[in-house]
Amino acid sequence: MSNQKKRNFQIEAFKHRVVMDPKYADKTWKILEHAIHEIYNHNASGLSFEELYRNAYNMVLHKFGEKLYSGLVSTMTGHLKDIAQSVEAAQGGSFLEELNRKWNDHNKALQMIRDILMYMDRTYIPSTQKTPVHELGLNLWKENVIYSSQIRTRLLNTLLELLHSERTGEVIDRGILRNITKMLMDLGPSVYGQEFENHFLQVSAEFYRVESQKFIECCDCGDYLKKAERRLNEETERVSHYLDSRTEKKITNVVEKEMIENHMLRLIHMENSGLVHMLCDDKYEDLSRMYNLFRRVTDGLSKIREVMTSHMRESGKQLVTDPERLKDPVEYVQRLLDEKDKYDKIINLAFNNDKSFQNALNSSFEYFINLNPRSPEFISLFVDDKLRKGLKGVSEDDVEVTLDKVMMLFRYLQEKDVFEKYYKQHLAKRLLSGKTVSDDAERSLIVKLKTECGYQFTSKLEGMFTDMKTSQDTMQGFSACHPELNDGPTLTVQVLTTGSWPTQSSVTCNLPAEMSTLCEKFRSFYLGTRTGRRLSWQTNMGTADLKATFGKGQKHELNVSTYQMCVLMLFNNADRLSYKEIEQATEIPASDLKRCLQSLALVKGRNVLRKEPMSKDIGEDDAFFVNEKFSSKLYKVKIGTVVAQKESEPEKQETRQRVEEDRKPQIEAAIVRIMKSRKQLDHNNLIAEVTKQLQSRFLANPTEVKKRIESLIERDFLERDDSDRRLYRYLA
Amino acid sequence: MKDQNTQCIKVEDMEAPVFKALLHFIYWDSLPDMQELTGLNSKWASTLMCQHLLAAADRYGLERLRLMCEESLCEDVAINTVATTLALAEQHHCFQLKAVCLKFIATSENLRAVMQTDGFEYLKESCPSVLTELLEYVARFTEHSDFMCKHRNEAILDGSDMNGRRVKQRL
Repeated sequence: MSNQKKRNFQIEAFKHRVVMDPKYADKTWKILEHAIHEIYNHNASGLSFEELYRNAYNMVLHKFGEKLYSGLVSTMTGHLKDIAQSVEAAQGGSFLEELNRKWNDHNKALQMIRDILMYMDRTYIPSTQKTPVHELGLNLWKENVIYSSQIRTRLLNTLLELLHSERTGEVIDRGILRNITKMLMDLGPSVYGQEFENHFLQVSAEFYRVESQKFIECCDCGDYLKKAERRLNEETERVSHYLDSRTEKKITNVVEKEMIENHMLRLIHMENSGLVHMLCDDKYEDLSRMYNLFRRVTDGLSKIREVMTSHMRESGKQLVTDPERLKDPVEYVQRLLDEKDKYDKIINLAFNNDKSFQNALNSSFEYFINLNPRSPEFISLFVDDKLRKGLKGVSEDDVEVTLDKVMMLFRYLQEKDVFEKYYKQHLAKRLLSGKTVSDDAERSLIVKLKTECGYQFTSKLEGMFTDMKTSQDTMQGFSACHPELNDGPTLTVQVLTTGSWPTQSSVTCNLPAEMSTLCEKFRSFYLGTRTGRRLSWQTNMGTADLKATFGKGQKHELNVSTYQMCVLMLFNNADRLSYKEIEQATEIPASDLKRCLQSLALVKGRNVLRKEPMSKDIGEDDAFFVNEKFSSKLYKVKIGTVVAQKESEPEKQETRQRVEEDRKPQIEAAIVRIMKSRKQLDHNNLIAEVTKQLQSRFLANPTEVKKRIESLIERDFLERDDSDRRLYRYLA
Repeated sequence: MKDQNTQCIKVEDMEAPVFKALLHFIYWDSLPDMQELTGLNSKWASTLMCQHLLAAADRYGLERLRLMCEESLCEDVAINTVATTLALAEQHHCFQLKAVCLKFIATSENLRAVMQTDGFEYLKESCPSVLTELLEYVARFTEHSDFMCKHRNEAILDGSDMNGRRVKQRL
């Protein structure tokens, strides 16, 4: 600005022009009305924004806002009515296009109008709480165009028809649909809902109801699920392309309900293709699909879990009670492991490692494994087999894997003390016969058992290992002390601590003279260094290696049991011996002797003795000879060692009885422990606590617990309350 | 509209220096030196300039400028200018400024003098409804005038109304 201008400017108090002209408002409004017309007729380029803005400003300033506002409403309404007519007149496919085009026009016009009338928007409208210009424009559109009787239903029907054709495979113009739904959303979510979404959901529900009915009649489970999945994906994709995102959850709920929830049970139980069939055939993909679809609906997964659980229990039960299976314990346990692997894999691959399914698996296995009371024994036999030969040559890692799997089964056992008993027996035999594949594997399993059940469970087992080691040291000391014995027969002694090893009845037999002198020497050596101990020879558990020469001079080394050695040594002094003579000379118990003679005379390829008559059984009057014709390809011949077998019926009864006996003190100890801390407790709670405490070893029988309580009362550990017969008190 | 394509847009009903100040504010968020702009070293000049600026700010939606002007005018209330300022406040819905003006006029010392300015004539013509409000203020003032005398107009001087509430805005 030049200085000249500055000097000329005389500032005066600010005064707005006072309007005297009564027609001022009308004239000003006419200008604006004309402008609105021009804008709607796409003629805005000739208008001056400054002028129009100023005029609107002046109208409001001079208190004519009311006139301006109502003028706006009526002018805009007029234009919208014309627009509605032109949209109604559109034919067929161009209906939506015309609607869309007019909507865009209206929005552009509205923006210009709002800009012109901004002063009114800012000042007059807030103070009178009228609807702002932009919102007003949308409302008028909604009322005059969308709600127009001819357009309203036609719009909805057109949209629904297009959606239906797309669902039946036709290609439609998605762009125009997107614009229309966006228009509805701009008018307000409730408009979108009422004019479109609600009907859309209803129609879709009907569509899927019909379709799912059709599919379920003609498809098998796997195919049906594929179709359902496809439809779900379709709907999601549809929403992303031309519907409002909030519709997604609603439409997927509709599909889930119609296609999945309504047919859940039918699908699961479908013959030849349902859940059970998929489980049996390891159909991971189908199972995974079923899992993903069913998890979307309430109770979907629990239904799957239910059926899977009952199937597992049923097939598991068949497994453990099948008489064929029971003949081979190792095979039995292997089948259990395979079954576990199978379901683990299914849960991993198809069920997303879902914990609830894992729990169902565990409870099912626990259920059916314990249906068979011989499961603890069989598992121990399985381990025995593996540790004797099954794990030979297997890498350390694989050994660990196998042992861990065994531990898994062990955890399911309710009668862990039965397992312990058998395990001890089998371990004893393995250790004494030296027939273990790997010391490290043995130790590793002990550690796992200790981690699982505590120190008490494994203390005796560890004692057995210690005894073996100590015996080695003792033997070294013995040979050092008696160097003169190096020429004669060698004696190897294992000293077993009575408490740690499984109890055996110790009946000694008559050892050959050479052996008994040696044994005496050892006994004095051992007792010489240790006072207060007693040694008793377990002749039913030993082994011997004999060098034998047969008829044609063939030499063999025979590996036999101690009993067998006693019998064979007799033939050094006699050619023929009758059963009775053998029995008298050796003093071996009858049943053992019979088994012994059977293994020496009646086993093909091992018959170092000959029996007359050649019958299968051992009779009292049978006679035995050395079999001069014995031959074998191998130099060293092993003759029937004592192998851990499945117990015979009486043996089984005996073991079971011993287990029951062992439980009694454990129950009593638990009762005393609990009563000591509680001081007094009622009967039911006491039973419950005792059961809980002993749960890690075995399932306590309430009747048995009651008996133990009675016994403790008799022995003055507890007393009954005088007034309440169900209440017990601890006696210090 | 055609404004987009023209080189020059004529802005009606506004003095050029005022528009210049407006532009200055838009770009620098501050007001230029009033003296430089008006070329006058009169103490009324800044008040009058503020009036113009307030109207312009309200017209074009510059809310912050409007409040700044309003505050400035609240401080510079004087007998010469109060009538026109009051009219301005009424037309442009500046309620605090309006209250300050009314209170100022209603003070017995000021009333007669103000009524003799031609600004007051303008006020009568343009905003007759304001006069009714003024009457109420005068009535209220005379009621409390004894009370106020005792306190020697402290309350008014520090910018609070008769109830001790602060009417001047803090910006």
